[in-house]
Amino acid sequence: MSAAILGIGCVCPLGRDWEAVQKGLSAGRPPETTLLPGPPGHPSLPAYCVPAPFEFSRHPRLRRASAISHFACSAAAAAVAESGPLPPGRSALIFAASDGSVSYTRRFYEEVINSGAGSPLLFPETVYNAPASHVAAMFGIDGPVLTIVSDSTAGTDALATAMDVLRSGEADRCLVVASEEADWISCDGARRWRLASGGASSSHRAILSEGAVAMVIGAGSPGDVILEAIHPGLTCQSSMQKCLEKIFCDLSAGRPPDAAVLSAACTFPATAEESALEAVFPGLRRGSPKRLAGEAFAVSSLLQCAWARQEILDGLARRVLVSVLGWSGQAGGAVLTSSSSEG
Amino acid sequence: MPNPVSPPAIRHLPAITGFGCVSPLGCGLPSTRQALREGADGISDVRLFSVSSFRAKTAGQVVGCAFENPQGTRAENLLLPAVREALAFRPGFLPEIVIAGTTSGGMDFGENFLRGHFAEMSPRDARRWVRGYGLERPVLDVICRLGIQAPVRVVSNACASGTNALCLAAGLVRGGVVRRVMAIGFDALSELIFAGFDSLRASTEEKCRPFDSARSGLALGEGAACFLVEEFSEVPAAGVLATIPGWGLANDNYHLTQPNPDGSGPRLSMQRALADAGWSTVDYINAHGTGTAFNDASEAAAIRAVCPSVPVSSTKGMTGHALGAAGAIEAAFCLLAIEGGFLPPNINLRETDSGLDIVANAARPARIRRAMSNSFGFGGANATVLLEVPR
Repeated sequence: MSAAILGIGCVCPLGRDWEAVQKGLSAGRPPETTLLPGPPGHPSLPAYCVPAPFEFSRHPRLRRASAISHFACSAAAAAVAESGPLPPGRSALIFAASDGSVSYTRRFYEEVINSGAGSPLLFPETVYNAPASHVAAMFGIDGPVLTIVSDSTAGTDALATAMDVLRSGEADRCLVVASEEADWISCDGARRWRLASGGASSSHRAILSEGAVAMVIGAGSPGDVILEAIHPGLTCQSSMQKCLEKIFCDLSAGRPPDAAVLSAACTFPATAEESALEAVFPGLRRGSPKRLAGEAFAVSSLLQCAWARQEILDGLARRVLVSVLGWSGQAGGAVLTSSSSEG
Repeated sequence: MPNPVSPPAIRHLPAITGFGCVSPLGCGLPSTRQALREGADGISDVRLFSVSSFRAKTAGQVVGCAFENPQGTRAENLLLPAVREALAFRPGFLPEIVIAGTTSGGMDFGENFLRGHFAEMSPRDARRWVRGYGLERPVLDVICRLGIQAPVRVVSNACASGTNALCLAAGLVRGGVVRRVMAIGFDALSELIFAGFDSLRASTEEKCRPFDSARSGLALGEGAACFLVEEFSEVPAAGVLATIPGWGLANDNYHLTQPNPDGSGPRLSMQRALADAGWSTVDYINAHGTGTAFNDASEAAAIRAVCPSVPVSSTKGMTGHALGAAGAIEAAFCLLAIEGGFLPPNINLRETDSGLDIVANAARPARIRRAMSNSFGFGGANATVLLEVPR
């Protein structure tokens, strides 16, 4: 069995499908910034948002769903369109998020604070696995459906969980989806954590973003891009650089990659990440979609994997290292390779 | 080590070698065991926040548990003693990975942060609350405090999260991916979640009565449980508390908050678990049994179809529904029942329409070798785990 990436879907502020996102990344222009209004007395904060209105479907399951579920279903549909149908009864879904349905959560709790009760229409959609539930219903997935939540490492944790499910024989194909929605409260949290900018993007402040990336993984065939290794991650309790150096060494398995896709662009751990890469693979070609696409946590780490896959498909590299850093001090990563160069 | 791409041809037997539990029934195993056997009522008036605007007024709350880190989230303080207690079974146990199940993590800090925008909030508090609200944060803080260096993976599958964590942990050991895993389920009572279930009218205004014909809803709860999971053959026989021979996951795709009335989701997860273990039945079922009309009817239909004559109890009448912690707490209850030779009671039962052999109101002496624990959640998430005491 090989764990190949059989299909990819993406919706983000740079575009509503993977082709448009690639064009946006190639053009080197960030999307337009949206100023999200805060509560009275608080500043509006910038974010990269998927141009509204965005409604994936009028399916009854999505009637009351928030943006995160529409993004997730849209990306999942594109990934499945590329991979071919998911085998009935033999498919799993692993969903990843960091902030989850933050918009409805904020609205619901504001209602509780202001009026003593919240809307029963909002609450069910605040649950972290609500988007996964909608995606599973869309595609009739009755096998394992799991929602993985963490900082940006949620994306690679979800890929690792998908590999575990495939390995166990519980499913033959796994749909992996990461989705996030931008909300003022997330932007304010990230700003106060000094992760995000209160104004324009700078070298050490990201702009928060939103959207979804989906991948179908399963047994591959020649020409497919392979998920060669997913690192289970490390919790960096002391030196982030040392932590990353260990991850890079583990993942490379003694064979240097041709390129790296970095995680920390525009955020404070960028120096540690660059230094770790330089220490382990001096001079390695590197890039990061986050410089243009913004910080969307779990989505960003899958976007990095999508970028790495495209580098391989375009013949720019045969083996690509993906580095993932999360704001909770967790780190992870992956190595993608072309099936012809595996082994 | 990175995960290998190819599936290993091995199938190890996962064993539980340590566990700890904090719930409204007690802070630690000895008090929990006694309360479980006595059918204690752990539900009380909510003290953590005002419930004046809500229909429901009660919940299962952890009391009498010293909080080691008053600056930390409530979840961290519930989790820490459970992890310490589990580790006491195997001094020096170093997990290669921690798998945690939770629905709300450090929600109290998230609530503080949001409320802070409508009142005074110092920059220092704001940063502390932002840092602490994530689902992974209580786990990271606990393992850091205990000097454990391990990756943390958090599964948030609504009320099935705790059971999912245990199943994922067992799967990693069975597949030979790792040899030592810590599995955790935890959730702390929070105003937002309380308001949520109240808004859905899922919470009861009186007693929580699982499987009672006139049941009126659930009571929320809180707590944490922790398990050390290792490969059976690598542990001295005396150190094995139970094995995890099988589990099943299923998704019923029926509705975001309601189970399919035909019980197909729970039935499938139970059938998959039994098939996974190669069993036809068990000696005891700890039911999800929330006390809501739909959940209990759906689960009862599934149990009648899969294990019709097996004794069943829901312990949520005693503890309330601890959401992401529930599955882990109830697996711990199964271990205590196996060890203690009793079936935990399903309290507050007057008359049942379930058609099941409910362990009504008082514990029943029994020799249990094989137990099943069910957890079902929003989104159609269904999970079943099987536990067996080795011969």
